[in-house]
Amino acid sequence: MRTSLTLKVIATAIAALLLQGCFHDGDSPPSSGTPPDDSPSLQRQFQVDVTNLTQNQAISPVAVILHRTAYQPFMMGEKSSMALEILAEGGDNNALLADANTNVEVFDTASGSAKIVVGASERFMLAGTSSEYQLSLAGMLVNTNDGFAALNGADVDQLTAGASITFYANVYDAGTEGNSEAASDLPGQGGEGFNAVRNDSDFIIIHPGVVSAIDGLETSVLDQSHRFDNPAMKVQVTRLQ
Amino acid sequence: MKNKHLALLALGVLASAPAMAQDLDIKLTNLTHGIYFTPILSAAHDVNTHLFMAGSAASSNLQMMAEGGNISGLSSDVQAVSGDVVENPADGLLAPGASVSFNMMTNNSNTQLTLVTMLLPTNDGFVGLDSLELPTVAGTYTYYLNAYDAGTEANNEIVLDGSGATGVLGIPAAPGGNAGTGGGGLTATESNTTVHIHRGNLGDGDLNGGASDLNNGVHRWLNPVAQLVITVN
Repeated sequence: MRTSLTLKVIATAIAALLLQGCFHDGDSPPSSGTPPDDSPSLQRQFQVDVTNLTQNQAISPVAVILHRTAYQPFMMGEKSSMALEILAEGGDNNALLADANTNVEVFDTASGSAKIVVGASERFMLAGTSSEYQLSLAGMLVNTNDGFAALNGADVDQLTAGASITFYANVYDAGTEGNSEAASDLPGQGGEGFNAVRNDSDFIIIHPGVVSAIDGLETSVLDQSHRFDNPAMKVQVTRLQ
Repeated sequence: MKNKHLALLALGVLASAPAMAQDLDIKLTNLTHGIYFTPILSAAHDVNTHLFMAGSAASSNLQMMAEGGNISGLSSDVQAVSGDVVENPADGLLAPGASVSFNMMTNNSNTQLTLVTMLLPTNDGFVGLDSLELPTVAGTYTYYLNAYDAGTEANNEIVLDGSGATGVLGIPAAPGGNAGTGGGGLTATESNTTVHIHRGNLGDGDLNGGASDLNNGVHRWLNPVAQLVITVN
């Protein structure tokens, strides 16, 4: 547990960096009676701590996105975007972040510096100026065909300064690649990452889990250690300002 | 967590104002990889009614739904206590990844929502929501539902025509067409005979034998198995 004093110190330390203004401008017209989106009183800074809770699934460098409710990285039961498919199949977050950075509903993004190994955490700082904030986040479980742990628009605008909230991220299946669990298809085993061919259901669902070779999937190279259950990731969000 | 905040808010509103009729838009999405939902029962009722409770034995009407997808008994139970029901809004099966949207009007004292639908192919698995206190403040609320096991039938994972009838061991149908035949049967016993969280299908890779008729690459799932979005108008 960090103390509020520590939080204040961190907040002060990063304020200078974050207030330089790399945010996107809000483009919603202010409604009467509410402050415009660029009011200093609506500036927020969030610290995001992401922890890998799985037994033996490294999580590819995560994409972290702070946005308004109008942005959504994916929808349950719908087709995956190409950018999300690239992340889910190959662990490459560049396209998803690039898409987000061109979206006017997105305030700020951050990229993981490397994969998050089991039990490890990574910290991110994001900022924006708005009356509504949601956090989305995604990283591939690298020993799956197209499984990714994600938050899909978690509300963080109720947080008071200094307060924290913890979310737990489930694992989704992008539906873009059949779950062969074969070494040649798993980036975590040196296999292929993104492939534009879609040979699965082509809609996003909760991942059915890893079967593994020992449990009877003949094409699988995975063992019992690669199995997982929900949730796969802990995400603690602290509002610094 | 937002849902929790909103639920608490709703509680406060309920405590200070009389319950009233509500106009709800409800959307249910199947989040599984290869499991179909049988006809759905959505029911609003008073606080004293439960169609099932985790840790308690299933009623015979719940068993009928969980083993064979027949919601008529549970629907009668709800209507007998002046509840509001929407039966079979998807007009049959709801496929993996598919959604159904429907409207529900609730009466004054029916402040709770229960939703059930059998999971196919399973022996006695169902999606369950037990007496959710309905939000009363206009807005959109999202919930995630788990898969329960009715505890009334051993999960032998053998597909057998006609086994939807109560007391006939087996899975009545595998709608996706990915199941096998000739399985030896996984188990003949059920350790927990109360309603509990389903342990999931096991399946195997042998379409012409093995222990299970189910397919380990198709018929497994992890919770949650459904997304429920309620819009209070």
